[in-house]
Amino acid sequence: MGLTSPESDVLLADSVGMRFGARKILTSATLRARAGEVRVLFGRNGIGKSTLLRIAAGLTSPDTGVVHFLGRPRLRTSLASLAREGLFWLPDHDLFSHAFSLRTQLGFFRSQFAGQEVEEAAALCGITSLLDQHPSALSGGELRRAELAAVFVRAPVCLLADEPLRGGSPADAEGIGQLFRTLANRGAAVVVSGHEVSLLSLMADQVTWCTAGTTYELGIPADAAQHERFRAEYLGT
Amino acid sequence: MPGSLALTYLARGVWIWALIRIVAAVGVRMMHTIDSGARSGTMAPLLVASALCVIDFRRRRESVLVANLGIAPMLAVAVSLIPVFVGEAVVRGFDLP
Repeated sequence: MGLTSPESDVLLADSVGMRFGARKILTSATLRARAGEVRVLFGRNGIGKSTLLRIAAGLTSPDTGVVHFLGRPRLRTSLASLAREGLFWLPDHDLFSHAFSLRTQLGFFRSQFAGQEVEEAAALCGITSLLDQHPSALSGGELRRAELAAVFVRAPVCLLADEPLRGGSPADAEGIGQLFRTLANRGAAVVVSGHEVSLLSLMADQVTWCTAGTTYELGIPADAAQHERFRAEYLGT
Repeated sequence: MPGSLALTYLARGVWIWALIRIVAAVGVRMMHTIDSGARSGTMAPLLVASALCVIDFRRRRESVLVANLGIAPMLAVAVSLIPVFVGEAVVRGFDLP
């Protein structure tokens, strides 16, 4: 675990604890997001990655600990409130409603925020030909790219994405990884969770490992790959 | 809330209310068990509650989308309920079944 400093982080979920009934999911976990940086959150299934991300996004209140966003502690907040200030949350299920076309839904973001134009974002994410489709007609990989188009239209200061590479082909996943890199290069703080170690390590600046209720900041991917416990307990090598 | 989104949720409220109103009116006429006075007194809350359930169901599928737009999901529900309340007020004002 590293030292906490809310002033230097766009987002910091600090010393978070959370239990569901008798089961303690997190005891003292810390997650930070810094401008221009892609941070990858690794951890085994059921270990609390999604819970930690949901707490950071204002969707769940922690039992202990506090979330700082843009340097201010947020004791009672919500995703809608944080989103107005620049947070974007990509859940581990489909973002879009099946009731409207992609163009309509991207238009919602464009009318609310001054990010990239819908057509530009669609071209960047390779979904121009799909703009008039409804989400129910798209494949998993197309949906993930469409969701990233919404991110570019929004142009958030911080993106939290829970397993965004699911459901796509390796080619889709590679393209999506490059889009996260592009977003960070534009100054956004990006946190991504997932199990695609090789691909996520290629685009990551920093690695955080969530295990046994806490988190470890392992540094750059090359350093993470040399971490003995991480290798033994997560990578299995 | 962006105008296009507000219009979308208003329109959703209109069709949900209209559908439930038509179904309820046809059902009551077929059963012939409730008199006109009772209909106007008891049907409105039932219709509003039914509409709320349907809208809330829809909202849950869209709550993350709406929240990412910086809008509290409950606001989307409230906007959808406007046509329900307006429609009920009009129907009861004209003493329609």
